Amino acid sequence: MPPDKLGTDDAMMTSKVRVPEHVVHRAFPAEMVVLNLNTGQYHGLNPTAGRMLELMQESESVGEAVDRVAREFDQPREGVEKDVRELCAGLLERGLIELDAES
Amino acid sequence: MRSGAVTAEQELTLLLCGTAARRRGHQHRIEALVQQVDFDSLSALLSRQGLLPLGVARLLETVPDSVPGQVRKRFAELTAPASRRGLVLEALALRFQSDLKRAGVAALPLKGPVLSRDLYGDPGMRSAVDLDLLVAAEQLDLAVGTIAARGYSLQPDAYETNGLPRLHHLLIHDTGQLLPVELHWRIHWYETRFSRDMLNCSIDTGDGRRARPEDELASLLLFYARDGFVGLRLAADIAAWWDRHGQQEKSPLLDATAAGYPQLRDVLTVTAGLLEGLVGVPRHSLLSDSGPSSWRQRTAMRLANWEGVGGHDQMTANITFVDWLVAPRGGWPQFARRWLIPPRARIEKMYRLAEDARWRRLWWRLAHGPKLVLRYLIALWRIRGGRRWVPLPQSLHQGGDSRSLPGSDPDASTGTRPTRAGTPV
Repeated sequence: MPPDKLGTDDAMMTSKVRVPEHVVHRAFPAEMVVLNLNTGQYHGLNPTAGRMLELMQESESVGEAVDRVAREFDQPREGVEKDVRELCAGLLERGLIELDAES
Repeated sequence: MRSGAVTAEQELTLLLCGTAARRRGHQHRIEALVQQVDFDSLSALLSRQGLLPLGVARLLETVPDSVPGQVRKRFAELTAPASRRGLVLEALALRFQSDLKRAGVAALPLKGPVLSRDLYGDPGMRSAVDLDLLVAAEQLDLAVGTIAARGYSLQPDAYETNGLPRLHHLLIHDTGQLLPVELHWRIHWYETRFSRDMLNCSIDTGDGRRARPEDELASLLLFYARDGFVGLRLAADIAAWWDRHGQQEKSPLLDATAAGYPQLRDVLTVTAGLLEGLVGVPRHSLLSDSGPSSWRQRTAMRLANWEGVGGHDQMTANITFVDWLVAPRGGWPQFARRWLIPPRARIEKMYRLAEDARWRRLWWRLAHGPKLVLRYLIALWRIRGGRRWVPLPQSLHQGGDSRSLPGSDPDASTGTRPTRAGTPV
């Protein structure tokens, strides 16, 4: 699901995050490196953002990932959701994740 | 051949590349050199050698109080991108390895960021200009196709009569966004079994295949020899390998390799002998033989160009000369075909000849071999009387772990009392 088709807020929250095949990501102690093999561009995510991406991949929806992040980091859900949305939007824009709409 | 003394920057670079024991044994000399060096020149030299992150790290670790704050800051700026780049390259190398595995091709990363992580704990400590992977000869085509699917194109090259490239295929990314990839089927000219066995005996770590320690060590020596002992990066890696693994593995580490691959015996003997003097890896820990003893072996050692400088044509000639000097019995025809009378495609590439430049091609096919032999004679003249192509600093001719070649070694120079290289002191 491309960024411009996200539509309502609910659309992102009910979508599942997928890292496309042309993206390599690898977690290291200080950061997660995400490399787009098609563009050759790479991006560094700090440990928190890296963990968010991992949880988004493991979860059935972005909304579920938000719940898990909030629990793991012991933070209010509202603030976490804002951070996760921003992260998703940034990663989508760079072609580093794709969103599969809830079927 | 370089004329002039070994500079303080060159000597410091060499000492920083040594084993931990070498660096400890020369601590005072390193401290003295730090007071003499120009740091801009030092960082330029380290960059040229592909040693900037490692050299800076070693310097700050060895003499932390002697490096001025401003210089530290400058070094930090210069080296900061290296770690991040190393992480990216490591991720890329491992992805290619897993792509190949999915395609049914067993592949082993060689050198590069994977080695850097193992030796230095940081994949960015070695500068890399390409990614090297070893695959089986019969799977080369499939491997090329797999990497090509990632937006790479195979570069044209001359092929051996068996249809294989001399050592590896080179693939360049179509948009230049990713590093070139070299798909090796062998590591050194005089072997085919070693690389095959290295691949077959490699260990699946769960994070991709890795070579057995003794194979990895042997491969580094072979790479250094194949490169004609130019530069210090591989020597530094071997010293770091020794520090990391040497004490844990059964010594002498390469006796079984030398026995199992007799065509590589001279290569390993010469390289081990050279490394002891250059970076302090004890030769007896690598091989139990008596060390370089024949004229050819000693000459190959003396041609080592650890500074990595000089005219391109002579440097290239010296690299091929080392090839001849370490060739096994029966290896000379291979050597001749490879360097003295190379195939047409290689002549065209070397001399940038158009396909229709028939007479020029004929001329160079006839002249190339004699031209190379003339360069060998120049090299022999310049290292006559036991001289080295690049002398070692005097600090390595004194003290515990310094070694000189069998016979006289009149080259010596100091950072404080320069002598002209090649002149007996």
